[in-house]
Amino acid sequence: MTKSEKFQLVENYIVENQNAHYRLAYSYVKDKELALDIIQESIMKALKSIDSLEQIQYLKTWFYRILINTSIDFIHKNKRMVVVEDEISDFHLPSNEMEIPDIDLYEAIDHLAPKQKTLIILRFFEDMKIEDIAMTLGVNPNTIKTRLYAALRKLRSFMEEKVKA
Amino acid sequence: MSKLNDSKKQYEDIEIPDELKHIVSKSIQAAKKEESKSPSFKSGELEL
Repeated sequence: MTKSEKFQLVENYIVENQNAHYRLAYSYVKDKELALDIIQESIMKALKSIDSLEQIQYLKTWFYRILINTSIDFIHKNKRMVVVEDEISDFHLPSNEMEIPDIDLYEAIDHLAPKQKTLIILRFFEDMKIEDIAMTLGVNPNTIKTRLYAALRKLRSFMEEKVKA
Repeated sequence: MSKLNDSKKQYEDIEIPDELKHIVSKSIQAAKKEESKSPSFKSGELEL
């Protein structure tokens, strides 16, 4: 495949999936203009670094990684946003089952650190498999499971505190 | 599971602004313009 053919495939992918990409960007910043800026910057970054996409079958995970990193950069750059500090710690899972808390995840994820928020969005809103999330984020699948569990636990404890208050 | 479905629906219902198409197209054109200057792009060099 020539570089121009690869460029065309990436371009088609970006155009076809622009709405999904916008939703993902928006869920980080909850602001239309910022989400559009993220889309613009992600496309530029992706097309400029097209050589880093070694295998075309990983196009989605490759582009998502760029989009997620750009979104997280925007959160850190934007002073108006409160960034919850990352408290990801690895610990043993009590079971293989990952219970989904009976809470409004869409609202609750704003109380998570950006990296934890990413896991919830990809797993529960984008329906990505653990293996695909691992590939997107460049992390071992077991680490993803552990971090996802930690994020769900944090959401659960946040909701419990909210109920008590 | 219903709360999860509600949350997912909120995510899926995020309004898509009209400007998105234009932003996407503008960004692709800008990147294309820049990329077309690269020698490997012009010559159709094998990448994969």
